[in-house]
Amino acid sequence: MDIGGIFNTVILQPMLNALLWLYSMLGNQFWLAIIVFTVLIRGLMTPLMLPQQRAAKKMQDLQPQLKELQKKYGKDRERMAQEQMKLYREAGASPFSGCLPMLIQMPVWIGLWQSINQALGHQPLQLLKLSQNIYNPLLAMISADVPLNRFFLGMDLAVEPSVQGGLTYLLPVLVAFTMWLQSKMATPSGGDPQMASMNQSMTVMMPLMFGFFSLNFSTGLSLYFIVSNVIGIITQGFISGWKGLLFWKGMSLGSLLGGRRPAQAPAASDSPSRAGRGGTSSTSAASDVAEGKVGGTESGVQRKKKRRRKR
Amino acid sequence: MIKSGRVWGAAVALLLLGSLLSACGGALPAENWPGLTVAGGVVYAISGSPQQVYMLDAETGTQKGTFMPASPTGTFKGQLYWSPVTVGDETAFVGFASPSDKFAGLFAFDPATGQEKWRIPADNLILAAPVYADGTVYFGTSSGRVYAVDTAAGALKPGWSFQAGEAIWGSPLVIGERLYVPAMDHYLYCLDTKTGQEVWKFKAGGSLAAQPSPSDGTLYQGAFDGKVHAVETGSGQQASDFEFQAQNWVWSEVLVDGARLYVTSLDGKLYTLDAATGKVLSNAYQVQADDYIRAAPAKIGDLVIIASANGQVIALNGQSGQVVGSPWTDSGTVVNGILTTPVVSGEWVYVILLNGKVQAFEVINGLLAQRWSFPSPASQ
Repeated sequence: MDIGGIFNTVILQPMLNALLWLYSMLGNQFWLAIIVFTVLIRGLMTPLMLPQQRAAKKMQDLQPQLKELQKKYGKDRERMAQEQMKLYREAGASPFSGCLPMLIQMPVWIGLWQSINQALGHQPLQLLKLSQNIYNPLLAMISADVPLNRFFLGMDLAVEPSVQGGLTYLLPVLVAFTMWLQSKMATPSGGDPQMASMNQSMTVMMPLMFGFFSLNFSTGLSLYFIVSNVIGIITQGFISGWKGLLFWKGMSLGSLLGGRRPAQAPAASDSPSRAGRGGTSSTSAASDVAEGKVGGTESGVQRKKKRRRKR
Repeated sequence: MIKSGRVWGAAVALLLLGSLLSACGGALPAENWPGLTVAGGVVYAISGSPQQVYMLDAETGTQKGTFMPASPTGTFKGQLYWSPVTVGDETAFVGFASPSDKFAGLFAFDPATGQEKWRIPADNLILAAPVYADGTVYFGTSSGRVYAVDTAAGALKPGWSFQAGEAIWGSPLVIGERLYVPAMDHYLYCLDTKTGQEVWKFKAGGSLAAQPSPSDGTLYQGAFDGKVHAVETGSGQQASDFEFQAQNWVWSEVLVDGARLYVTSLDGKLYTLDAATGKVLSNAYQVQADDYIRAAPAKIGDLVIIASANGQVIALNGQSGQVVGSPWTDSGTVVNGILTTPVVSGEWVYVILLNGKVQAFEVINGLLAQRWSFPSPASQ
């Protein structure tokens, strides 16, 4: 059996049949089947995703120590890298924690994408493939429902927004936004400027890319992305707190696009404990502001909190 | 420098990821199998890239002409959709669509010159072959609408309209003043050819994507419920004593041969049935395990010809069901599979592969002998 055959047997067929079974059980509403299926998939993937999300939280918790390391070894890059790795190892954290959950989901995304395409097949070859991938016990039940009801709120779930137009253009925007928010909540801020910069690039580029892809994917897949991201946001919120949701605080266009925030750039670049040489800014910086950790010094929010505690 | 390198590394990784996703995803694959028609010594094949109608000499395979509608924007973008060609009244009819250009319609052209005669815009894709009868051509679209076109005037018949609940992927059938239309909404509709008004409709347990096959006041209709339904043409009632169930969808037309029916199914089998009862008469022929049959069977003399999705052309004795000679195969890959029904003309059998390659066989001494292919190996 080739790789395609293994993928079909191990991922596509089970997912497709589960989706079709849900469709039949949920009153022939494919949008509902996608939502329930996404919740189930996320539930099943929790054992895989939770360690990564916890690791992301650890990365966030390590930021003060990383800043200390910056102060100590900022000029000796080799030593700095060694100390960082040591710190990560001892704390059981991973600097790639923000993007790993996404990568783990890749085969599932592809499987789900193909499942949706086949299930919602509105061209002959798609339905032919569907007929060859339905398990025998389900075949009679599903055959009576083909072609499946693929409409939701006037949208054709099998057709891409770039073809449908109208309100369906909202879906790629929502995909990008929810993915960005989820990534931002999972991405540690500050610390190693190189790593922070890379994380930041991923935080911005990945959602943009998925938003762009969603334009040319079936809207059914956009629905999956959005639901999946919302679940991810909720899960991440429980693990690392909800401050990341306040994304608009301290945000500027420059920070969103990856540049330095004009008002704070000099301070950030002057401070060796901050993203000095590289300037992490962007979403990580926005996140810092939201968390009250601007630059190497305490922010006003943090100082207020301390004052309250003292009282 | 290092930071910049890492950022670029991340960007490249994301681009690779994007490429992977695009390869696996992107726009929905919108495809259909190519049409093949033989009429008046000419083979009409949907072939080439971009696809167009090729007119070939039926005995030699020599190219006689092509047909491609003129694009309003100069060139067509994206996936093109063609129906099989239908020939009648010295005119060839073909459905063509380019969704990217929001362009779909039925086109009439001169088979001798390939020159367009007229065009009728359609509201959606025309995937099934139009049917011609008595100066009128009928066709259905993927939106479920049925059209009737006066071929002399090149215009829609006034007052004629019909709308099914789902797409129409099977060719309509005309018998006298009745038009029978199979639809994906599970209904077989009987319409008045003059007005398009519904006379009756028969509901099957699954979608209908093949033209019904008539025989002695009965229409045999394969369906996605795996059954062949025997429907009385006058009343639209199912013949109560006919029962047949395959193990997967029946997407193909039923081949009627006197008191016998030959039926192919996506379960990979060729069934021989009693036309009166639907009882299986002899052991069904099964293609290889990972293969299936979309194309309908064809009959030439005593031979029943089937073509499989993996590209096998198999000739069986119609009486015994035994394979006659070695099956012909085109390397067995899915890309080169056969989903289009083989066409029989005289002593010749024609097949078209998914990639648009045409193969012509001649029956010599009861065996299939390959005669020519298009494009010829030399021109590839």
